[in-house]
This record gives sequence, C-alpha cells and structure tokens, in this order.
Amino acid sequence: MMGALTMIVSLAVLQGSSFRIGFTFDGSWPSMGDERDYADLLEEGGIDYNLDGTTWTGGIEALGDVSEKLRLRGAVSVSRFHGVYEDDYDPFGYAITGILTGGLLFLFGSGDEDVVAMEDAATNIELACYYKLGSISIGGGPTFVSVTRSMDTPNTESSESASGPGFTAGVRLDGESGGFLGLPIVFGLEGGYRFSSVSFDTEYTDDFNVDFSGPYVRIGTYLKI
Amino acid sequence: MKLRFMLVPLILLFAACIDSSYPFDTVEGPVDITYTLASGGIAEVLVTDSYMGLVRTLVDSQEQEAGEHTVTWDLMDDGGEYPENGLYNVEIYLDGQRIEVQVLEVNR
Repeated sequence: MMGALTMIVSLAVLQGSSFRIGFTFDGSWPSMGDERDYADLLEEGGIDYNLDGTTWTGGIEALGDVSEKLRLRGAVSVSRFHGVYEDDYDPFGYAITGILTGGLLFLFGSGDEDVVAMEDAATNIELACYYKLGSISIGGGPTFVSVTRSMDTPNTESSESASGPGFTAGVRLDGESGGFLGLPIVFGLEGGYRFSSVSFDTEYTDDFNVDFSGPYVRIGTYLKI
Repeated sequence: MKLRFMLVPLILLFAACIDSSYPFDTVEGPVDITYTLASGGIAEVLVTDSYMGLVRTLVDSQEQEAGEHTVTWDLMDDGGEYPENGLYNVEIYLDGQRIEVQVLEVNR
C-alpha cells in the first residue's frame, strides 16, 4: 500500500498537478448472505440475534492526477460489520441496582449486555483509476481485503482470518478549489459498488463467505497540496 | 461493623439483579440432546459451528418413530478431536427438513 501511495505522490509531483490526501467515511449496504443464513439459524435456536443493516468504513486516502484526464486514488480503510444478541436487564432490577449503587450503574453501566457478539472487521487496500469529466470522474480498480471474524460468548472467544481480492467501481465528485479556515481543504463525494467477498477456509468448512459486496456512498475531506 | 452487615445483602441483591439466563446452555462435558419428532421418518442430528461447517453427525439418516429421542454428544468432532470452545448449533432434521435448532456454548 505504501508503494501505491508513493507512486501516486511521485506521479502527482512529476505532473505538477493536483494532489490531495485526507480522511474518508463511508456507509455501505453489504449482502452478507452467509452471515444472514447464520443469523437465521440462531433465530431458529431461540436467540434474538441482530445484524447491522449498514456497514461503516473509515479510511485515509490520497488522490493525484497523472494527466489532464486521469486521476489515481490509493486508500486504506477499515470496515466493521456486527451481529449481536443482547440480554436486557430486568427494568425493575436495573432501577433498584442503580439506586443501590448510588447512581454509579446509570453513570457507567448500560441497560443491556452483549451475550453473543460477532464482528467482521475488514482492512481494505484500494487502488483505483478515474477518467475525469470536469469535476465528475468515473472509474474503479482492484482491492485487497483482509477480514477477521470474531465471535464472543459469555465464556468463549474465537477468531479466524482470511483475505482475498476485490474490486470497486464508482463515480466521484471532487471539489477542485476551496478553503476552510485559510487551509486548502476540499471535499469529495463518491458513490459506487464494492465487490468484496472473502471465503473462510476453516477446519469444518471452506465455503463460508464474509461478503462486504454492495453499494456504498463515501465522503472525504482532503488537504490539497 | 454496621456498614459490613449492610454491604453483604446489598452485594447479594446486586448479583441477583444482574443475573441473567441465556437462551442456550453452557456445556463442559458430554451433553444429552433431547428432541421430539411429531411423526416418524428419516431423522438426522448434526452439530455445526459458527461458520455453519459440519462438526459432528450424531444421527445419520436413521428411521425413527414419532416421540421423544435422546442422543449424547461427547463434544468431539467426526474425527475424534475436540473442536475449539465456542457456539455450536445442534440441527435436527426430519425427512430432510430442519425442524429444530438447539444452540450450545461449549466451554471445556
């Protein structure tokens, strides 16, 4: 990834053109077919297990123009997807306990407890190329995804990791000039589709997929250099 | 001294208030799985892990009559090894249809 970022910086400098680096935040709606099947299985087993509807991703990315019409983007981001079964405290007991602890429970505790907690954490390394049409640009590129799936229960913790390739395609809208508090800060917006399915090869299965594929909307704040 | 006498019931009450019962059992050793078939047919009882991978076949396509049945899982997989601690599903099938799922937390 550092290589990709170095390449973007070098090319941007060589071109003497616009280079920007900044933070991004995106919301996506992944398919997660196998996670949904597993959730259905737990529901059948009497566990009220809920999955996230939206996945949130935070990242850092760099953009640089390599020609008048081509813009490169390199990024590292982390996405998280959760499944949880929460056990609600009995409200009467919770209130009594809160009073008996002098309010400390209300201050530091919460009204529920994660009994079964699953987290799919994906680290995405992305490289994309866009064709510029004014302030809009269209493009995409390959990604590398490393996913860790962890599952915690009251007495146990387990975790497995897997990785694989992916692809993104999107349309960007980048601010080309601007300023905020005297700084050369510009904003960007991207919408697209992410193809990112990683297959877990465990002792008992080789076809459980953690599938982050789905549409996304990303916003970014960049320092223009 | 008085404070100590007050503290004990308070701690007990606190423990009682936060005590929860989960919709699954925690097992540390061999466990009896009891299930009821509404009608006779071909029964299968499978244990799967949190990746829905097959860990153990407890009942392998056996003709069973209607009524209550019990099978024991020794917490081992089909290869005679102990799988990792975690959440496991006991899936009960009748004539190819899943009729019940029991969830167990294995903590050997």
